[in-house]
Amino acid sequence: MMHARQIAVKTGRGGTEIRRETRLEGATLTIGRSTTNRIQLSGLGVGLHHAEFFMADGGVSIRGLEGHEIFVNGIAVIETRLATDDVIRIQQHEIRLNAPGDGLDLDFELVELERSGDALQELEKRTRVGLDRGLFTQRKLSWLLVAAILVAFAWGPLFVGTLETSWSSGPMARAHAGIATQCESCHLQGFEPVGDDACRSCHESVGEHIDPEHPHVGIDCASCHVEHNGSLGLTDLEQSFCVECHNADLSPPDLQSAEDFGVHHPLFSVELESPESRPAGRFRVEANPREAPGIRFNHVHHTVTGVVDSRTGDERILACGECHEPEPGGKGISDISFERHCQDCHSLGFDTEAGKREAIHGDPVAMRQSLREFFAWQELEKVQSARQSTNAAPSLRRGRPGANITPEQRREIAASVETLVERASHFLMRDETRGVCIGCHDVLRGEASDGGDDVAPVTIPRRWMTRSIFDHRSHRFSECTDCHPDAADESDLGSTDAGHIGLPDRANCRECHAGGHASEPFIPSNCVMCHEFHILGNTP
Amino acid sequence: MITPQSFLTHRKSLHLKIALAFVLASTVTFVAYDPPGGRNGGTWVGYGLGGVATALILWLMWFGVRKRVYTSRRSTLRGWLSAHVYLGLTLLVIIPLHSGFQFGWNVHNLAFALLAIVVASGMVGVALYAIVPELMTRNRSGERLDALFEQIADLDAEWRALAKEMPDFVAQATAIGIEKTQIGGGVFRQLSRRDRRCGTERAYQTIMDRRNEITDSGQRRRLLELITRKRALLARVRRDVRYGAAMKAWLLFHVPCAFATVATVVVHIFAVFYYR
Repeated sequence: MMHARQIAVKTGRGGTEIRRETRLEGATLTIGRSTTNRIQLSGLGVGLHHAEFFMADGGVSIRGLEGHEIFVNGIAVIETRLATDDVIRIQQHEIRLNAPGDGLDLDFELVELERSGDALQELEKRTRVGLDRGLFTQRKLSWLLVAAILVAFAWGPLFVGTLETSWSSGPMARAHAGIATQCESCHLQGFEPVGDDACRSCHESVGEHIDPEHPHVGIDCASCHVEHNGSLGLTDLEQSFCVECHNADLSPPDLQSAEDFGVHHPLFSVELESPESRPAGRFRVEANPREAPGIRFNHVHHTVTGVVDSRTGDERILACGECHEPEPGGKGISDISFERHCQDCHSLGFDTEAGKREAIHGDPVAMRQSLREFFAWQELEKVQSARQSTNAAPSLRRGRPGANITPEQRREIAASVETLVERASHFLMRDETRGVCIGCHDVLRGEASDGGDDVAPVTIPRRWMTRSIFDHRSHRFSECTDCHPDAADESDLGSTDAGHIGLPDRANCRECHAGGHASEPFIPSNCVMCHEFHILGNTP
Repeated sequence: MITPQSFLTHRKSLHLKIALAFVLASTVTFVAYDPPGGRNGGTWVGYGLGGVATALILWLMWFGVRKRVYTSRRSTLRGWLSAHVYLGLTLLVIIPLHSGFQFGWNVHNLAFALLAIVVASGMVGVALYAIVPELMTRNRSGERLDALFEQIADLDAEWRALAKEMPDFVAQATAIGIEKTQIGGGVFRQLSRRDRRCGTERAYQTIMDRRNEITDSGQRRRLLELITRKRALLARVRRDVRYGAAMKAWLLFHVPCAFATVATVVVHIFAVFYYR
């Protein structure tokens, strides 16, 4: 049992000190905020059960309860034995130990120090917590950022030209790089889509696909040519776009439907101006249509069997390229020209009394006129030499100009010349075995303007499949006969006369080209690989 | 209390499932539709995804209003926050789908960049809310902040009283230790781990360096004990301030960036329709 005396010291009004004495007894004396404590201390910092005095080894000790701190002489302790003059500090309370008198184990003054109000106020003055000050509020920062963005990216692009490009939704196609920062050259009116007018202001001559007034046409330039797509380019078109109209259900009535070259595509057809079976029109390649081109030509003789050079008598076998020369650029093949491709071997020569002569090519009337001039000269020479060979008087031998041939002689000579011309012309144009004209050309007897024989016009089409584009150059790594095998085929299928059309059919192209989404080993081939959307010359 | 642990699993992560379904549906639509000219924001699917994303952004912004409404009975704030987090994340997928994965240095992509920043800071926010409140509670260990302030003030008073009977350098250090000690301050001071200019620290250093000059060992021990206690209390208070400042700074970043995003989206929409 512990006996203690507590003197609570308080400062009254006017600074007078009030001391109140209390006697306490118990096995331990608890100290804390709760009213159940023997020594009750006020203040939130004081624990409910903060500490207790207890007897140990005949002396008084103190220990903190529930982990609370106590300070004895300014030093934090958990438990310690106490001695006279020790000062125990619990928050703002001080317990000052005096020497215990008779019958007491503990004698102490309990002093509540003045709340350090000034110190607290000063500390609070030096305290700045929270970020809401100056610009650092949600509202001000938000407004600031919003305003900055509106100025830089809304007001700026509309009123300061150079900021306009910040609105560009993507890089321009390379073809338009030169006007990439001139938005207004295409975007003519705000809130309106870029119309065909803007495109046509530069691209005047681009052909329409079909009549723009056509009721089913809902497309404009931008339907296919999507700008601001950068590397995608302007014409990387999916064939689905074409198939929207050219499918089996909606295909225009005058055209056949197509959905994919590998799956559904019409057989190839050619435009023939002078087919054997008239009238002119389109014919399926697979049906082997025949043409009447007005010329005779045996490919197989030239490329396989061998032909004789009429000048040298040598036998020759020709390569395709010796006659079929690529056009400049290489896309198409040049027309065959007699002078460049035939004349080397095919001499137009014929024998005369004065030796071998060469006929003019290309114009039978001009040819006969040149023959006429030649034979006239020949006949006159004869007259001349006849005179010089006679023993006539020198005066006669040296005839006067204009008077040395009599009208009678002239008639004789003219008749003789006409006979010679006719004979030569007949030989060239009618002699089936030796005549050089008829050797290659169809001859129209007596149909020339001078009443003589004419040569039928040669009607080899400039282009065969007029609704597609074909680039010979991009196929230059193939052999000619890969696609045109008939030209060197000795069998019955070979191209032995000019009526034969040696064009590849659909199956031939499909050996390499499959549909738009084909994969190895085929070449993906969509519509625009072979067909042009803009039809040249079809301008509005 | 709404913790990330509770809102992320709200109603068995219902909003996570909704968000995943939304992303999946958008992706399927994107893949299925392949228009001429390629997939981009100007196609019908592009417009659709852009419209949905815009609506979603506005709805996410509405959370700022909804969180201040405490009286709703139809929905809980926890449900809203769960949806806010999961649906906000979907935008990182929906918007690239909207644009057909076309990126560039322009105002359109600025909107996405800002949005990505907002979403990323949102993730940081979820992490902060998962960690900081717990740390804050542990740091205060059941004491109120003003009780800690009171204790510091008491120590200051005690220090002043103690220093009266001590050498001049102690008295000078005491004046610095009390008057030059401040709590908080500027934004970066609040957020920083240490206050290098703290008066108490300076006083502590001086007194430690010259402690041999204090001849009375009892006084010396009391003084050092007192300063050590004050330093510990200051450290706790400052940690509290730092945690509070971190949460506040997060909001000060997340919210203005969100408004900036909305402004940029408005400019984006205006620009694409003005220059069609």
